[in-house]
Amino acid sequence: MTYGFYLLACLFLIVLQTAVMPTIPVLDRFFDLPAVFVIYLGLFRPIRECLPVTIVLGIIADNLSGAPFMLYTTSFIWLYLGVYWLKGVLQVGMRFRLPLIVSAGVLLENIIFIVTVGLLEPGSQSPVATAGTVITQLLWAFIIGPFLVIGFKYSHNFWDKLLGEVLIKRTDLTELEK
Amino acid sequence: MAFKTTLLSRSITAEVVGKDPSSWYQAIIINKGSEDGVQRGMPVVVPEGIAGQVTDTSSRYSKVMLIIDRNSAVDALVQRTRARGLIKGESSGRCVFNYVLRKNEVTVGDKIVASGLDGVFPKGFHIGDVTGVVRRVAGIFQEVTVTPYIDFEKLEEVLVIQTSPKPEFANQQ
Repeated sequence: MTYGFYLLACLFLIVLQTAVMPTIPVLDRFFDLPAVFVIYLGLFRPIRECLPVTIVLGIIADNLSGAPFMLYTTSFIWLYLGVYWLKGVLQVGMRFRLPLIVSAGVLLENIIFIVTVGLLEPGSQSPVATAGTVITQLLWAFIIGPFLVIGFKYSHNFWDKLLGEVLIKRTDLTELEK
Repeated sequence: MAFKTTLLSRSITAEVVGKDPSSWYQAIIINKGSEDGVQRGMPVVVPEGIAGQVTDTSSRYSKVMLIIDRNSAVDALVQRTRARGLIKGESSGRCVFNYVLRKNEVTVGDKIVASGLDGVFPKGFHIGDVTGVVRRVAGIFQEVTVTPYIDFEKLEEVLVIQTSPKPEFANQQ
């Protein structure tokens, strides 16, 4: 049932990122929302459950993007593993832990993209524009990212609780029928 | 779109339904696909000029790489002096006009149009205005910056021009 939540969340985030956010001028340099979902998975969910979700989300993003195919999938896998490792080693207070991890995740994704662009199209990047994009995304991630991660966590818990109640009701009804 | 009546080739009107999730690449999704006759390599235009090129199609949707994407290239001319070069996308939403010889005259304000020599974009379609020219002491070429006429942030409807794709080009894609 938890995969149902992942599927709905992935589709919702992709539609939001590709069809809704481009119409809002302030959010033209917003960070990748699917990346924050991968960060949530890395922080709170086990690997065996999340790697398939991360790969599917990456393939969906790859199909909609003009980036070289599999770049999103690769960056999401590295992002998941990076966050999974980082949460174990980062020893800071709870207040700053989440913003730092989300910012580090967004930075890691940007680094993967910049290195790829640099390797495939050397000299095509303006350092000023690149730095501007990265800094803006990091600021957004530091401020908004933690709230999104907490939102994902609450939504997931709510989904599990809701489905749990439905399943219990169904089981009770089946037992009564017997 | 009234613009459609001025085109000689057959064309397909399409709506923009999505944009690239990444800020590092510039692509859009349109609501017409192979069932509507859209094929890879077809040029995409709007009344202001060239918007991009179809890079992928599904049955009902297509992906269009915009001319401001760093992987895009359009063979182009300076309308006034006929100086030839290659329009390439830049990360800042502008384009650079590469391979323009130093001896050719290019000034700020010159209009850049498609040359038609790339076999993809129709000749004469507008691309943008020259907004910067740097002619260094050494070197064969000059550095020319071009600002496209199209506001890609506000792109809503486009026309896909139905050209018959060349077999070798279609194979390369």
